[in-house]
Amino acid sequence: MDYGFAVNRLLASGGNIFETLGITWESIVLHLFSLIVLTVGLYFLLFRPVKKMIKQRQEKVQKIEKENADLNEEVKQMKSSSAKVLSEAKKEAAAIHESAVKVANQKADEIVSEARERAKTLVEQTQREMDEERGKLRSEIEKQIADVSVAVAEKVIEKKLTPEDNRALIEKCLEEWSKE
Amino acid sequence: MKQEKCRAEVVLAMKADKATEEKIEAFVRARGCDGARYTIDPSIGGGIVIYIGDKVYDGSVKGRLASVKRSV
Repeated sequence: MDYGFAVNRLLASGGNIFETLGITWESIVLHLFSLIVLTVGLYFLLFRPVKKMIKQRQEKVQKIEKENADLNEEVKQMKSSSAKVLSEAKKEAAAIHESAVKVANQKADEIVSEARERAKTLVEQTQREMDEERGKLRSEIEKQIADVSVAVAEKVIEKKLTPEDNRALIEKCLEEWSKE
Repeated sequence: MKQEKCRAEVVLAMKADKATEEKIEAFVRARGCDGARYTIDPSIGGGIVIYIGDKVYDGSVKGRLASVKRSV
């Protein structure tokens, strides 16, 4: 810009700056009117839609946040519920385990008791059979001893019995039978 | 009616002398028999066995040992 020219014109106009710059009141009014029209146009064409869009975005964000909060709450409740269910399941499992152990112990006791009873019965039966066998064996041995003793006695008596002994034996028998 | 007399069966291990035979005869007559029939059987070991009807008088060594054996 040529500052020297502008200064010369300012001086030539006698110091009136508006005249120097070529600004009149009509141009000012026109500019004001243009500014108002622009402002109103911008308000309706740009500001309001943008404001509306921002509001919609805010509402959407709020809705998402609310949904997020609800979801968080739901997750929290689910966590709490699952923890409770897990705790109850653990308690139930412990109770089942305890019951199973109790039943198993009871069954084991019954089996051991039955086995002991069987063993006792078997031992008693074996003892009884052994006693019977021992008795039979003893009787058999006694019978064999008696047989052998009698056989030996027969042989000895046959060899040592003299006619006099035989006569005395016969007379003794007759005497005994006569007393009957 | 004549009463039927029985005859005793006498078993000895060896032949008896006269005196013994008389005692045997007296014994069997006392039990209703009119005499005795003698048999020698050494297997009785000694002594005497008399059969009068169903009655048996066993005084043999063999019989007495058998009795001892039974009691054992």
